[in-house]
Amino acid sequence: MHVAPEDPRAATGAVQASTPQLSPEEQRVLRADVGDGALHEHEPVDIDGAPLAWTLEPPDADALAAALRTLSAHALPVVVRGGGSRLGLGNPPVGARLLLSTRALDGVQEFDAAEGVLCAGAGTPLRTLREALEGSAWELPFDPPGARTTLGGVLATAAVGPRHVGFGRPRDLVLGLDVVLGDGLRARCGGRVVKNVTGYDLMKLHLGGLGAFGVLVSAWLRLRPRPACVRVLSMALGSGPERWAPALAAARLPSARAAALIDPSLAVALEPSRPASAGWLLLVELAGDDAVVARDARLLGAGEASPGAIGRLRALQGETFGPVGLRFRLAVLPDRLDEVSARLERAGAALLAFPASGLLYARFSLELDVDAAGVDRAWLAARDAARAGGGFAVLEAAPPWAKRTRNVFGDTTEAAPLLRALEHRFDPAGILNPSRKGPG
Amino acid sequence: MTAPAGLLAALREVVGAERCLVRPDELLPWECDGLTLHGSLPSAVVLPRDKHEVARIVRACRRFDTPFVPRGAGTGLSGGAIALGGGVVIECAKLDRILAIDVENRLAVVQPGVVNAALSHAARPHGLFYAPDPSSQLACTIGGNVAENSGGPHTLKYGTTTNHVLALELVLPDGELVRLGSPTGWSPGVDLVGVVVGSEGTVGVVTEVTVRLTPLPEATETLLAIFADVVSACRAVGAVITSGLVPAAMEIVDRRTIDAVEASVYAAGLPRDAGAVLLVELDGPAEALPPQIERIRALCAAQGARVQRARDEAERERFWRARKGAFGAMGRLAPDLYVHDAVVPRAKLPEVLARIGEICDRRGLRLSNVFHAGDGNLHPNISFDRRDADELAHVLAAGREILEACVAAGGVISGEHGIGTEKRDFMGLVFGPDDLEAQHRLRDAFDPDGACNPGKVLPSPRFCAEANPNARGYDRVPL
Repeated sequence: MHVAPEDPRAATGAVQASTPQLSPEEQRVLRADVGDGALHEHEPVDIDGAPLAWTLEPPDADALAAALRTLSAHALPVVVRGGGSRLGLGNPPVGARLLLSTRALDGVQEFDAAEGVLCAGAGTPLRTLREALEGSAWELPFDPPGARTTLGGVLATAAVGPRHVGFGRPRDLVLGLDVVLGDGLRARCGGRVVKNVTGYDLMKLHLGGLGAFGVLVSAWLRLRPRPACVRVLSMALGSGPERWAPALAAARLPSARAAALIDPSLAVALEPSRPASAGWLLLVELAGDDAVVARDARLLGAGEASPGAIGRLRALQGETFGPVGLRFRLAVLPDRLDEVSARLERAGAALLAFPASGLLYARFSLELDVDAAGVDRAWLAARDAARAGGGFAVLEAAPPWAKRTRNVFGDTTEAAPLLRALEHRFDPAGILNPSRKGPG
Repeated sequence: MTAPAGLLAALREVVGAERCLVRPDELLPWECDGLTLHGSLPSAVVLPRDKHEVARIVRACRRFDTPFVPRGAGTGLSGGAIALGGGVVIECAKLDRILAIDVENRLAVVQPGVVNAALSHAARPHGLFYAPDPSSQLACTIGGNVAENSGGPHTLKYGTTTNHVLALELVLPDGELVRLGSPTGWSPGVDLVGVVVGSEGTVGVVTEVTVRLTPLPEATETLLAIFADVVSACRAVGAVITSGLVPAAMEIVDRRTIDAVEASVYAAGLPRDAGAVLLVELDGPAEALPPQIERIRALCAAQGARVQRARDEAERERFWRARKGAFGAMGRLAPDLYVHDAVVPRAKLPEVLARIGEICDRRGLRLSNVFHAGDGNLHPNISFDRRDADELAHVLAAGREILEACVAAGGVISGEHGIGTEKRDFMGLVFGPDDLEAQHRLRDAFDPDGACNPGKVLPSPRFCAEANPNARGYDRVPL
């Protein structure tokens, strides 16, 4: 679907796209090749303005490979879906005809408690993985927002939660992947061991690739030892630019597993009894050996946070702010957070920052249902702040009309031809999440 | 293969005659890398001084349809930095400047020819270091580390090169210069930095690397656990991993290696009656270490070990000198040394080591083991004399059997040395045809014409048919 930018109704999304249908012949071949029960029609699901009313859910990896061969052969573009927590990430899908669900590829295939590694299907909810590890010495090192999030979803979007400071990023934690490429080729990469340079690191293409280079079947993960002691502390840090230095020092304490600095307008969601005049809130989770946690807590000199604070922080990080808000994710150099923050505050943003990693979430509220000028202002403010911070900004959550006229990942880069070459080889028919990825 | 005269003229125009080597006697140092069994004389070696020269060299090679090979210090152990069948070696030794050390943001920007240890040395006054520490760190370069995704003893806690590279600049095989990643360490979309790290110099020539620097640990403790045999030492390693402790390093040195070390300049006073020693390093906040030491002591004692603690920095350095000098000391055992590299799940270490011992005993080969036990990263070393054709044949045949044993135990055929030419034709032990097809596609996207470091990493029917005539000894080996 091409939306002409000169059509004001199109620019604002006032034109409702019609729901694409599958012809009887398309239904027949998909059922024949993937399985009778694998194709369902349902109420349209809106993905950034693209309503999709059909879902193909292959029951196993072989059926997924068959599905992708058939989808490629019949040029049927799909949006890949796990738990559905992050379907709004990326540019709006263009031309997608149906959803391809990984939910049937679920279950823990192996948990090696001696080694601290686990293999599970891409459709497995993170909740199920955590349950499988209960009572063991290991914990799942993923904590992204979203109650329905699946393993495949967190890997395909490279999503992180507040504890990424201690856990690391998905790219640091995945040991091996089983993937089906766009044309149905099933390829494994990596392995189950904790150190491996056997061949190219294809895993990195899929972690954060938004499903553009293949659909995940399963993954081997490295687990983290469960800490002996966990404490969550909080303190007020005033509102001046001098707040960033102590926040960064706190976030870099050896046992800091999560550390966030939250502006007064958002901090009320974390500590409802807190007055806005209390300034910015620093929330730190310490985890590790008793002696280290005790020492770091002493150094920090903060009080205990209210119970459930990390969970509320996670919810705040993932909040989509309803139909008329924007959320940007910025990655900047930690020592420029003060300048970046000042720029965004001047533009009216509400901020949540993870100082140790330089991640910053900026929320903008829009005045009207269709406030194109407000979106432009926020977009420029986020872009300029990110540049000043030596990093980049991605528009993560926005009404579809606000995304349609821009690349949510920012400017096209010099790597764009390379990305096109990779897409062409891993998804020759261009059926996987068409147009969603970027930059470029 | 001789370089076309037009190409030589073009290269000289870029770097001048003094940095463009063409005489066979000049080219000899670039004939092989750390894997001396594989050799191939390049057609020319050029030594660029900046990225623009690199880009012009690559474009000149492409114009004259001549393959090119990026190279760092040449310490690699898989034959990855040789110009197979000729071609131009782009030697990055003169791209050796540390461009920036950003203390506040804990990162450094370096050219690829910067020596690994030199970066840590430069960062140390700021309380920082570069964590990946391959045993060759006094010579190997960051560019080479990026190509190989190098590890080292301390990767157990700190990870390998890929966990420390934030951004890259490289000249693609078509001569275009691109920047990938972000100094923030995050990527707005696809993680192309992660794809390039470990690609063994086959997707372009890296010209600048932004790396993460790590705070120096507040305190370090080093333990030496002395075991009756290597199997007990492996069991202790498994027990430590399962307990959830994450030491900075856990290294095993077996009896034959101890003998070689103690007879060499690296002698560290290791007990000659030991069947194996396990070196355990713990680092972190001072408060954390005493309880960890006690837990490690108990886990080792349960396997019959006696445990010594390094009393001071001098003793700690002595322990490590013995470990890092092990490969040099093995020069005492025989004229040649074949250093293998494979990884298995740590719980499988005892049975795999036993199997490797059987393989070498059956073939009458001298095996010693010194390895990154905490990662399950084995380095079975075979001492031999390449002039003995029969022995060489056994060494190579044993190598394949060792890799098969590791794969059968759920492992892989390289943990840190890479595939290069050495293991290219063993990739089928780990990956099926479809897995390899996906890897071919990746490489094709970067280098559709196969101009950049051809003949490495992936088996190809063409190269199999040629049976790699440049691999000395392989022609005599019934593989």
